[in-house]
Amino acid sequence: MESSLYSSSKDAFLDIVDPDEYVQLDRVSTIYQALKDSINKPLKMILLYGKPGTGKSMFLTKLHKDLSRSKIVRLYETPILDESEFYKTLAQDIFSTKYNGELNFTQFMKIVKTSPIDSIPIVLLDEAQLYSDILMEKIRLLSDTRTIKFVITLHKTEKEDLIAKEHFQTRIWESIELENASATELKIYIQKKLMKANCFDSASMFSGKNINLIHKLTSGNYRDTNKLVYTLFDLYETYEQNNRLASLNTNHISNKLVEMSAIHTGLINA
Amino acid sequence: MLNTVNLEKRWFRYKVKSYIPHFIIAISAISIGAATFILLNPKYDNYDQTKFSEEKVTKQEVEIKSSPAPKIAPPASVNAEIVIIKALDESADIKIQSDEDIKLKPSLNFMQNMRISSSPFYAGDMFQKENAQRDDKKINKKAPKKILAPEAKIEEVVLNDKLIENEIVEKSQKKEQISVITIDRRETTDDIKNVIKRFKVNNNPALSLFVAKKYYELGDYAQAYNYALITNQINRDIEASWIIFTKSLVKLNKRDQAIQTLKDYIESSSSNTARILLEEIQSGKFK
Repeated sequence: MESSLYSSSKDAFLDIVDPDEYVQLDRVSTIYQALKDSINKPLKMILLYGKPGTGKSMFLTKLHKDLSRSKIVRLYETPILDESEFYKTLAQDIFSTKYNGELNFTQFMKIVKTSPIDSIPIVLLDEAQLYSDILMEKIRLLSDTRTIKFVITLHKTEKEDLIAKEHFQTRIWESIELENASATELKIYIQKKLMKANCFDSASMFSGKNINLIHKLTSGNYRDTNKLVYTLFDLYETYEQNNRLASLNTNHISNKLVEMSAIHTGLINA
Repeated sequence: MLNTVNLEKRWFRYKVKSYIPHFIIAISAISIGAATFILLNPKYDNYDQTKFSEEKVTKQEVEIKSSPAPKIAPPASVNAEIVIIKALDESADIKIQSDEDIKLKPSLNFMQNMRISSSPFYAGDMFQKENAQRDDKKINKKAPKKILAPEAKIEEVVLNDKLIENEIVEKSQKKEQISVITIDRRETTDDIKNVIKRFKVNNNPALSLFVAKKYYELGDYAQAYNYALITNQINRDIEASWIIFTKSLVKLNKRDQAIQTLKDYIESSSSNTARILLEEIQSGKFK
């Protein structure tokens, strides 16, 4: 049924961070492997940075899923802004120590040293640019003790670059940049996503022109692509429900609908 | 559910907006192409240059230098004094600064310049009136022989070279400001110029009569009058010259003077042609 086709195709592009939905692209696979190798090295800290929507969160999620089988890994997708709360959360999650009352850096270091852990725990901090400078300095001190390994993600903006320089420039042994997808990668990304959702018909509807247009509109940003393609199939579904699908060529994706989707999602200011 | 109608409208506006720059670029490209084509196409080149030269023509310089006036020896039978005819010399330098592409229109401006330099009688209205009055008196009083009296006027009119040159310069300057000077390439005028040149060399009345006839044919009755008069001064027995002389007078609205002149001439020569012409003038057939 065509209605289920468009609906399931649409759902494949829901903007959620699910490691099961992770799409392996060649370049991304290489980066991911490099990141995994870096974690096995005696590095103090690993910085993962890139523009919003380049897949940093998905990367961390995937890494968390893969490493959690063999290592002590904790992923914090939302920043813990309070310093005491941050220490208490780490003490409980990593060292299974519940602490009542305020916990400061010295007290936390005592917990770390007294806890019997064989391997160095890995803490994945997403959206690290939201942490305060004081807390970031404490994170740096913690990583210097080599008792906890931090993998943090930063948005690549001028401000975040400055933070990275100030706090991590001399301490980060590995920094990995995530970039937007090329047109070819985007085509693979879209088609793999659709095929994962068993939407083979809709995957074959994308022509090179469609992909180029989508890439032009989204600049290869995965988040924008997800939004755009989701809206695109939403439009197809709407046309179908309004019995106007006959006016469209269903063998190929209509660039008109791609542009209408871009207008709806704000990628085109019309 | 998405509002597809609204989205389609927004999409249409967006497409129209997105095509505007292309449209402007296309129009610009076409305009540039057309301009280039016009500039490179010789047809349009001529058009432009002609148009452009029209502005230039108003500033054409015309320098007229008169050569020393040849003296016409008076015939033995005529008690005329030395007459100097200052006519446009063939060697007059006419410098015209204009493009080769100027379209030359037939014009008698060239002849007007000649008239300025050569015509003692019709150079100006005042002058013409004075001449007419004097001619009337002399023709009425005397026989055909005395009809040649205007020659005395010629003598008066012959001014020194400087004065005439000044007059020419002034008039030519006025013409520069007012009208476009064009060059006649009519063979008739070339003929007249050649004949005048030859006439200045040998003072042959046949030549001056030829010039008078040609001017009459061209409608330049003042010059026809002048050259007929000069012919009469050289030889007063040439009937054709008197005919042209009186015809020119009629054309110059001096009908009475023409009739009187013809009557005087008929008295002395009994010319049938003159008589017929007189009748025609009197009856109004010849105007």
